[in-house]
Amino acid sequence: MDEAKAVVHVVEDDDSVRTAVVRLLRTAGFQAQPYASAAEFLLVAGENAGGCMVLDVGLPGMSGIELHAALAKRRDCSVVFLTGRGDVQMSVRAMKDGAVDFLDKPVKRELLLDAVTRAVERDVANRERRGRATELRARYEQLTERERQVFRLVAEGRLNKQIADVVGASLRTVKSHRARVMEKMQATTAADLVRAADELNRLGLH
Amino acid sequence: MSIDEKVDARVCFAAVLQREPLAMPPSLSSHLADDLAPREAATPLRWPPVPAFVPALLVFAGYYAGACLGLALTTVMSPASVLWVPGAVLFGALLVAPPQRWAPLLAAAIAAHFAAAWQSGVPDAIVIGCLVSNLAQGLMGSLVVRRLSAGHPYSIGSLRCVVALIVGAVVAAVGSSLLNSAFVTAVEWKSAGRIWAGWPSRMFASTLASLAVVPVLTAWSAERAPWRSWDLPRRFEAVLLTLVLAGLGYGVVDPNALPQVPSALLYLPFPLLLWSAMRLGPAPTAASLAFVSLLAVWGAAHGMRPFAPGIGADSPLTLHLFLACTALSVLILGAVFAERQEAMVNLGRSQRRFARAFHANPNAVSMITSDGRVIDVNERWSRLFGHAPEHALGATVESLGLDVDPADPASIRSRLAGAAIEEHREMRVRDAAGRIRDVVMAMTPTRIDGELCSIVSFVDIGDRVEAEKALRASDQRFRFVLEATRDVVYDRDLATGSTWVSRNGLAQFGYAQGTNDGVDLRPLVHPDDWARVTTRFTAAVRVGSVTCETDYRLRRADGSYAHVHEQAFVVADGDGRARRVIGVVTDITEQHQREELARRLSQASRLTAMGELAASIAHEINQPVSAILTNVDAAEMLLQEAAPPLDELRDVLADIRSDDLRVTDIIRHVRALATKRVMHFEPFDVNTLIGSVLRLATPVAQRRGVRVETALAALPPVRGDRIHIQQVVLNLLLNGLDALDEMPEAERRLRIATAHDERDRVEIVVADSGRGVDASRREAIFESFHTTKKEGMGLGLSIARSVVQQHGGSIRVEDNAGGGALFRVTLRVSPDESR
Repeated sequence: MDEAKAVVHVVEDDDSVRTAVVRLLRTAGFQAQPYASAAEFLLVAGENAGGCMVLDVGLPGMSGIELHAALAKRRDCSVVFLTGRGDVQMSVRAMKDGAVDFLDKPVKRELLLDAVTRAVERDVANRERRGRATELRARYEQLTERERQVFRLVAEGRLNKQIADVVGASLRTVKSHRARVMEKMQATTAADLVRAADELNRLGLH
Repeated sequence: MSIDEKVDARVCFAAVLQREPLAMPPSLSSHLADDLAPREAATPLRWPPVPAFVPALLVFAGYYAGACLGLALTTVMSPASVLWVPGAVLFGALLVAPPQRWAPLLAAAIAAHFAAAWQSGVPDAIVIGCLVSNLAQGLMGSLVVRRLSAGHPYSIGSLRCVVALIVGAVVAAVGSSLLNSAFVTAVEWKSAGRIWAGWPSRMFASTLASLAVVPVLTAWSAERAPWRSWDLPRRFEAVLLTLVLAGLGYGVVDPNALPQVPSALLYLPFPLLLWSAMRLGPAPTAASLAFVSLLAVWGAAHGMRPFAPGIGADSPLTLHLFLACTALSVLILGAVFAERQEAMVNLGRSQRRFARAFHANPNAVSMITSDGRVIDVNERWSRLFGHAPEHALGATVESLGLDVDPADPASIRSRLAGAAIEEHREMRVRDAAGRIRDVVMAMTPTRIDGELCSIVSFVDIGDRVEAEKALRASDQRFRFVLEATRDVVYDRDLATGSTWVSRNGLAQFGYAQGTNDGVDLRPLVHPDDWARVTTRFTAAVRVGSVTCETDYRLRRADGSYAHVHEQAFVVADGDGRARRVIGVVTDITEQHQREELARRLSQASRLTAMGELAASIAHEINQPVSAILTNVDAAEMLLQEAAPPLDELRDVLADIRSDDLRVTDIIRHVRALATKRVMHFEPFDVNTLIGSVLRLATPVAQRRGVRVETALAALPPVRGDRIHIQQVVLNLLLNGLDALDEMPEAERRLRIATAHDERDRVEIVVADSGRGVDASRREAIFESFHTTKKEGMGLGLSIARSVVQQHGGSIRVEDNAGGGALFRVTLRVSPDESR
């Protein structure tokens, strides 16, 4: 969350509209970056660019929807769609696919700024989550096999004695493992461990 | 024979049957000349074409000789001669000569008479008496004979003439003797008794002299060289006769020649004379007769038995009887025989004539009895029916199977039985092979040898029947076609105006079926189209076109109008004047409606396209409008800042303005697109139009360094809206100029060409030497708002295509040979002017 203001990538092929939108966002305090096409965005910003996006649907070559689909495969992105052709079907699908909003042109200032704000928030939240996930993963990596086993069992809610039985080690060993897991996973309570385990589960690591 | 010759032959045949004199067609004369040439008429006694005095001389000589002979004979026997030759000579001469020429002959006779009498010393009275009687004999005899044979050319071969001669001789003898006796009695009446007593013998002498001499004169005058027509046997016979007679003569004259032969040998000539009459003709016979008579008289005069006067020195009865018998029988038999001969010759000729006419007849002719028995057939008949003459003759119509249906009252058999007269009956007969033939039959009843039969002739009309069948078939085909096609066919005579119209065709317009004649299509033409239709037609006729196509509206029976297309053919006579018009009128209402529908459909599809266009227009306008709103929002926000950045605000305002202008631009072009283009269609010349466009565009091209080439072909007029097409062409030109902007100056070429490709298509081609159009974009460039240019709306080509399509044409882009784009606009030629 160090970036003072999240970047808003504005991808719009019509010059006038792009200029106007960027101007508005900047005036509103966002850091807006203009791109004339999806290709230009990918070339300049790259697939892993952070920040949220304001995407025009009707782009030459790869459309906004397609760009969103391509990016979403990698990670959650936070996108606001703009379109000159109101298409209910398209908008519903885009929303289902995780867009922040789907707006018609000409767009009212409040709607646009509101959507972009939410997009930025979502982006921040996404980033945070992504950070946390990375940390967790890093921590998990440091666990030994035995420790992972213990971690799993503790997350399941087993008592130490039960864990000892399962692992086939002494109670004292289990307790020492447990302490080390807590330490590596930077958990203070067992509940933290459970949460971490859930998180890891979700990430598909556990 | 050719058809002409056949006709000639028929004429000849008819003429022959009617015994008309013919003018012979040259081709037939070689076939038929011998039999049909008119027989030389019984030759009239021809007065030889010699100077007039020659006959007089002959008469003089003959009379003189005769007189001397008579006198010589008289002194021996009796005062009266046994043969009164001079009178007979005169008689013959006057008979031969036409009355006009008698004068010199009479004068010659008189002169000869006195010449002879002067020598003889006969008393004058007797001399004059003799003259009178001779003249009387000659005149009376010839007059009587002429009278009796009047109307018939005198010929010794005619019985009538022979009888006339006998009668004339008798009358002449009687008359002349009477006159003589009367005269002498009147002058020297003392010897009247004696003179009267010798009257019978004088009469006989005169008659017999006439009978002996006159035939000679008449025969030899008619046929002066009979031996010319004799064949070899006849000549031999003539020579034989001459020899025999000569021998006879010698025997008579020279008493020592035949001492032992009985004098009855003198009767020998009789059969010879008859034979001569049969074989040698009248002239030699007459001569022989005269010769024999002369011999007999000589013999009698010299005391030869049996003619020597026996009892009664004044009555040489035996001699006279002999002479009379001989002469009469020879003359009469000769005449009878000659007549019969001639009749046979004539019969033979006429038979041959008929047979030739019958058999050479170009028609098939047959003689058939009333009960169907065939008496005779000619060659043509045999060929037609296939029955050989020997097979047909004697057979019956039934046995030959000529009738297809004998029970039919119109069959040959039935007509024969009814002795009907047929002049021209078309019928069918069966030939020997069983084939049915079409013929025309003519039949005439007649009597042949007392039997009732008919002359039946046939003419083979198989060809004509075939031709008629073919004509009927083709006629039927024509009618089928007329009925099958729903086109109206008409045939109008331009001179009379009378029209034949196919009613089947008119029926589809609701008009009742009826007669085909007299209906005129012209009042049914729509009044608005009438002027155009007539003008076109008259122009076509005047120019001499063979065909003329027009579209117009035709009134249906219910009053509504149908769109029709007419194709008319003008038929001209030999001088090139239009005589007839034959036309086909096709109902194209359906087609017209379909075209209308297609047009409306294309319009509708244009509307769908318009729907899409509207969507894209909306989108296009949306962009600047959107930008304007966002810019205004941005400006508001900027104004809320403590120190509003004026420069940025100015930028915002500038952007707003340019966006607004952009919108008005779009709207203007959209108006251009959406305006229902009212097109005024009229014929115009494409080349002229291109010329006017070039006048506008060439300066622009020159300014931009583009070379413009033109290649305009001769074009028929095109039907369309001149102004719109002008815009299309201008658009293409300007596009071309734009495409060449990025090319090096040397390669800036723009070509405009026109062509008249097919019968009803005109092409305008605009080609540039630019970069060309990608194959993938060749359709897309005609869509709205498609442009690669920085300025411009990308509407020009879509508008161009819309305009061209409204003209029923097409526009497309191809590769220009040698690089660049080639735009091809195809337009339809004005239908009125096609051809």
